[in-house]
Amino acid sequence: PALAETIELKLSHFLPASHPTHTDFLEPWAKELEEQTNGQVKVTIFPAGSAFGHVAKQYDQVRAGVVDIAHGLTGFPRGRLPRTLIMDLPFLTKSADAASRALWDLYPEYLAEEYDGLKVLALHAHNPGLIHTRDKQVKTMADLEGLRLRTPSLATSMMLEQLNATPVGLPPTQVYENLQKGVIDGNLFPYDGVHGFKLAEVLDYHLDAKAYTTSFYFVMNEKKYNALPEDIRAAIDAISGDTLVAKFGPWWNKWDEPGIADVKAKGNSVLTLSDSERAEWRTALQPTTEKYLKSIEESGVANAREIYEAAVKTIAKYE
Amino acid sequence: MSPEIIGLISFVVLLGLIAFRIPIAIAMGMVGAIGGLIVNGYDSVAFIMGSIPFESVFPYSLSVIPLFILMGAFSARAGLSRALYDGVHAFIGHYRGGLAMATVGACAAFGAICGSSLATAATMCRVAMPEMRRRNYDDGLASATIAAGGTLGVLIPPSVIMIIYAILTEQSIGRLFAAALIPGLLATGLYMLAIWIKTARNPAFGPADTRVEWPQRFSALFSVWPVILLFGVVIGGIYAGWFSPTEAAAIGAIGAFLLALAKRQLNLRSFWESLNETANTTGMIFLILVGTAVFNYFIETTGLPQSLVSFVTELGWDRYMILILLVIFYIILGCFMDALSMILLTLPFIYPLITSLGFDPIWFGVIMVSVVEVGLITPPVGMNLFIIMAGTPGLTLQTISRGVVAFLFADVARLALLILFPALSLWLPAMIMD
Amino acid sequence: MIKQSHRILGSVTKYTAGLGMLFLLGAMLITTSDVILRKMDGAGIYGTIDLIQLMILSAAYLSIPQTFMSGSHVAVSIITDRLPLRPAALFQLIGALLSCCFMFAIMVFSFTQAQMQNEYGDISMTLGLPMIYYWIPLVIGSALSVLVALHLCIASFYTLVTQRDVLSLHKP
Ligand code: NA
Ligand code: NA
Repeated sequence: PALAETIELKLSHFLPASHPTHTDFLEPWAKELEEQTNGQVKVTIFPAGSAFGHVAKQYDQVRAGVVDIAHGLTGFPRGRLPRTLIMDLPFLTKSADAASRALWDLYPEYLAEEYDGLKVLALHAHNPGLIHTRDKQVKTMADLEGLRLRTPSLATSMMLEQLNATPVGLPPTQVYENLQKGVIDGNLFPYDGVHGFKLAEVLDYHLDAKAYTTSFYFVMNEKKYNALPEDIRAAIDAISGDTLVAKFGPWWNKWDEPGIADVKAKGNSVLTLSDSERAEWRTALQPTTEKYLKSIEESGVANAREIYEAAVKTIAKYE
Repeated sequence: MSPEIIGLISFVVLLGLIAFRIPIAIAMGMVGAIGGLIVNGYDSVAFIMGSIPFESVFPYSLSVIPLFILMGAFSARAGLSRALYDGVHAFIGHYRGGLAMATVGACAAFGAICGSSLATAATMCRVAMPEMRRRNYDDGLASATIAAGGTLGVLIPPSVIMIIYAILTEQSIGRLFAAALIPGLLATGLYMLAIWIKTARNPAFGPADTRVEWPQRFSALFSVWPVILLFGVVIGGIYAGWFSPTEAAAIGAIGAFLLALAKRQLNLRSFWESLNETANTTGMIFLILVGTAVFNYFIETTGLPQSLVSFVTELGWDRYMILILLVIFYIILGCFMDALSMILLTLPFIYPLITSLGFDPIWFGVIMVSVVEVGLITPPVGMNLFIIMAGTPGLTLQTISRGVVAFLFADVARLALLILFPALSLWLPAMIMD
Repeated sequence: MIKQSHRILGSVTKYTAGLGMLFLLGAMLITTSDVILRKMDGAGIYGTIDLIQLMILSAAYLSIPQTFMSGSHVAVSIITDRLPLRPAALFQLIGALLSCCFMFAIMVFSFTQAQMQNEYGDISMTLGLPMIYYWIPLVIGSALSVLVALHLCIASFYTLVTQRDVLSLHKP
């Protein structure tokens, strides 16, 4: 065949180029696509700090076709992807693997309509986050009362409010200085974030409650996808979907390791909730789950409860 | 034509527009938008022009800029700055250039609580500029002192830019802060030395006043207490954990407002003037942030920064030659771009190069932060210069640029010392943390 | 005519900037109250950051028209200061035209983004304020800036043609 023209694809995401999602997931994915298509496709990656690296813009810019592929957080902008965000409810899952596979199982039937105009390549979620504190060890729900904690998402904010703690919204880059100065008493993050933002330096205690997760989407502009030649679409499909989703569990385990090592090196105290304790927290936090589901029902997701039940069932299958 | 060539041409066009009195924010914004249109097409520019004006003003951390400007405006109206300078003047006013050196000292003190160069320059400008003018200091020296002193906001920890470097390169923030402390003090000392040399060569730049007797010194010191109180609350509050450095700007502004009220210096008219002045500076700075962001978007999509870096890598030179070349590259780039954009745009390419050459990442962090801060005081595009011009009626870019030369020499001397003696950066963190 | 519109736009931008500064004072008061309240009962004000962001955005964009009006934008005048009135007015006109284009582009494209976020029903992170509130000051500020820049275009064009420096735009 005649020498085909090079197809340039722009891939954007909101994490720094040093983050493992860039080095282990996105960069190799792009490289594999380039190899699979014998160099016919060339992918340029725009990470955080670049023109297309804003966390709240990923969804809009890939739908607008300004970039072709994007990796983003389902919680930003707030309220865009309420169905997928059900995965972020407290004490729903214990592992990135189960959460990611469950999201992918739920996608065709329950989540697809949120991604209108987009070709979804994968959905995933990080290993459930911990409650980190300076000065005070948290062991029970009562210990949280009166603490000011930085929260990563709407669902965790609602959870903290129910437990009489004060949720504080801060950009992740400002958590370090605010912890150091004692403006906040702690924060909620997975181990990966503890390492990424150097937080072990300013934290003393950790409660491995597996309290919540945060979900992510990896999507392509649908028009762009459909306009690609058949063989290139096949190459994209081959390295996405089930193949890709299965990798997130091991990846997130690996990405958490530096954070675990940081905490160990500093000699911090880490408590872990047992399964029965987790069940207690989960039962106690039912009002938060109720409140969240009700709020998205009101915003027009009629089957919110059905999705939640399906999520619980699917996760149980994988855990 | 390749995007890289279009990028290079755009620099020339930008310089041409700026030379003919096109407002810098507008020149950068329009060159960025039209360049973006050529390289990326209509949809991309439409999206960027709809989102950058929002995103470059929206971040919570930027709230310090207008609030510290407001604090400065109230402080000036309350006569706080005047009292402070009367106090300082009573002690060192009889030395040549004494007030300018005191300004550098005050910038360093402020930099120890504030993580932003812009906020430091904006605050100190309102405080120091009118006082130095009143005592017949040369406009160029006075304004350049504040511009250079403003960079101490980032050079002396805490510092927003250092936090971002540490996060991007996975280094310890605490270690980088410790490493930057001695270099920050060195910068303070060298700026004072620059003033000393400059006023020694031409005493008219910073005229010496008559010596003040001790009783008057003590009475001048006594009138400084409101300033000490305000700074005490702001600094003490941050260290005691009452509020974050970001919130400190609001506390400082309300503190200055209350002091102005208490001293009966604030009526409706002067209150309105303070607000009007703050509005002008705020609008000017934020529009520059927008213009710069549009220009950076375009330059980045041309791939020009990456090409320049890979060009340097492929030269295969001695590692110190490459380092010096990089420093020169950043100083030139800094004439047109702001510090944060330079770090964000180039670090992903520079950092692997630096570590592969066997340089210490913390040491390089100190060098990198120092060198991008130089960009804040190099004309034609230097944010600190703009902030001081906006706050000083009748001050031209020519005047302040003339004054800034001496401080650029001080910056180059500091960079040379930091490169020659890595212990200046690495001794303290090793002492504290190992 | 030009002088009259200069007076009108002058006071409109002044009051708009004044309104922006009221928002800045609001940001100052809310931050301070938040700090004091959380020292007293530990809770502080809910959603402080959402409010501060709204107020800073308003303060910035409502101030920008006045900065065009008062010529506060930083520019290099080394060369134009040495030029006779006519060529100086020409560059003044180019500057005003480019300002007009830039602010117009911001206004139009921001309006599109604002509309889109409104259709999505986007809300702020903590308080759930409709994001359209955040766009209102931006669109108003850039629209007023377009008007001011247009006025400056006309004034410098008039100077270029008649050699009468109506607004003493050409300051030596
Ligand atoms: Na600082
Ligand atoms: Na510069």
